Amino acid sequence: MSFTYPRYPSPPIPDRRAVPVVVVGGGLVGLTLALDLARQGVPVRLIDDDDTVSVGSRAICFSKRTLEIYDRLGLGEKFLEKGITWNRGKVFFRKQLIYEFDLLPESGHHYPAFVNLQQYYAEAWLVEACAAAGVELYWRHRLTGLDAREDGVRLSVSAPEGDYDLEGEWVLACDGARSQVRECLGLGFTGKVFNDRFLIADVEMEADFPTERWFWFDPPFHPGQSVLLHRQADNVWRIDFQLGPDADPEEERKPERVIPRIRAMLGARPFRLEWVSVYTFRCRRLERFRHGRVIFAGDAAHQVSPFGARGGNGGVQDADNLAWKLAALLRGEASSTLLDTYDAERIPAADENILHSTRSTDFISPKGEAMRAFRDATLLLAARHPFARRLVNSGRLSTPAILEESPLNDPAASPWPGCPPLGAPAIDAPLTARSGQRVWLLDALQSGFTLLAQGPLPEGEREALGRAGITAVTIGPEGELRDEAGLFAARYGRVPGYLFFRPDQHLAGAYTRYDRAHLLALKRWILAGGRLSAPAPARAAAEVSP
Amino acid sequence: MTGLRFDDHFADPDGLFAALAGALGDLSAEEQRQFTAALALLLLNQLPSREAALAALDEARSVVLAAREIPKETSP
Repeated sequence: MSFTYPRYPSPPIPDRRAVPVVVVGGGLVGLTLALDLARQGVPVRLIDDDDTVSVGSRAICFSKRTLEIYDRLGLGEKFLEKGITWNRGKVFFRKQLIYEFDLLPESGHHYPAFVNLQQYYAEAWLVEACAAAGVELYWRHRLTGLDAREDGVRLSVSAPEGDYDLEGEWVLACDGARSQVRECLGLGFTGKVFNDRFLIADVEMEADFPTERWFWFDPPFHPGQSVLLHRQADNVWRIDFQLGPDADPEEERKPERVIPRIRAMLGARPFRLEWVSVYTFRCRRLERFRHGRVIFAGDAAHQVSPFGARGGNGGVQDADNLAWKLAALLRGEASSTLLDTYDAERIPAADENILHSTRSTDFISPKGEAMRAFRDATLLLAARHPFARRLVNSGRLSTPAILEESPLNDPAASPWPGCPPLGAPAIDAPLTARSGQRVWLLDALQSGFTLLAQGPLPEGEREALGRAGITAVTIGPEGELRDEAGLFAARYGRVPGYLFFRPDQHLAGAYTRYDRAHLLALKRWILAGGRLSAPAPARAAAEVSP
Repeated sequence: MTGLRFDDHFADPDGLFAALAGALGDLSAEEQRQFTAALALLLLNQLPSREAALAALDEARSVVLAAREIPKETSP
């Protein structure tokens, strides 16, 4: 069954012209951010110049961390049910298999390394969830101007009925690579533009290829270039052909040009062409993502090549990082300095994505004959020599950002050997509830500050933490969750300890001794903006050595 | 670290290939050929023995010659 594009109604010009949060852009990132905020009780209005979801499959590889974020937002299972799960990839040089990899070579995780799914499915589910959560969706309301002040932002909007002004306390710019918000503020990018053109062809066909990522360098059916094959839902396959810098985009997207390329690859197998796009790409970002009360996320803030699936996944992690901070601020619990930590955390994450994306692109599209000779020699050697496989780069696939330098990490923490580094997102593990029901660790974390205690808490402490807005979860033989498979201990270290997670499930503190006063001070310090606002709270007593 | 589906063994984790690309970056085609030859000789000189150097030369040659045998089928 193929996808039917919805047409969303365009509401009349609203009477209420002042709202706390305006999200500009109803794509993957804008919808995710709007949904996350609305689920935390924040009134959100989203405006978008179109009235449907994104056309074409676009971002198709949803990473494990993105799926975990969508699980927190109530959508994760839909991805598993509809999408194509994959963990393995193969790299070919000409016709020879030179390397295989497994992105999740262990069990005991709710979500796989990746689920492939057309972006339009994800957006359609997000629109439904946003509407149910109370997000005001204004389709075909287009931003035309923007006046950002210290105390708010005035947006000029053009709707089918006419033009009007809208006042937002905060504006979240999620309007993609051609961001109108960015245009209005006159902001430029720094980074690299690549000249090579690529052709995406989504084809519907019956095929028994394994559900894996296949990447060819210089294949016989497309000599001198690269090709990527991915499976999506509904028997749709993504084929990505490198075309080189001299390709004419208008000519190359014509069926009479595309179909012979696919025939050369697939032989006589019947297929139907579903979507074609010719693109170039950029690896670049804004200098800062926060500009007073205007905050950029996703492609509006940073852009990468598609090799590594870092665009959409990076944008969803932006939303995950920003939503709890802005919600806390609007509830009056946090300082606006907390929003500056969005830059401090997501700019390094964007730089990591840009670095890997640029390296992949340089390998896939070598500049000059000498680089091509080195690239091809690397591929030849990789078939026989493991050292060379480390250098083969068909895309370093998206991994969650580990916020090791985050200003919200507690300098007084004392993680033990085997404990994930501060700033890492929580690692999932299967656990057993007292009822005998099997649960996932990430289900226990959800959307608030959480203390995971490996062992019992002193009498009355759970309630005391709860009054301070910290949920306590105990894991162990006497705890509410048992680690029967031993995977929690394996992933967090076999030390009785206390792990303090932020609402976005990133680790902010790890301790071998329970100290409620410190945890409460830590939460206050984080909400004030962490190290950007004040030195970290000191601990009352020395840690017990593990 | 376990559980982050992080394969540290591919995609140029140490940035060595990127460094190579950077070193070649602004050289002319002729200079790039000279660079490549100079690099090969420098690395040969780093090997621990004459036997190791000769084995590396043999292996490099055999890898290149083996590529002549890569099949030329036309479908995946």
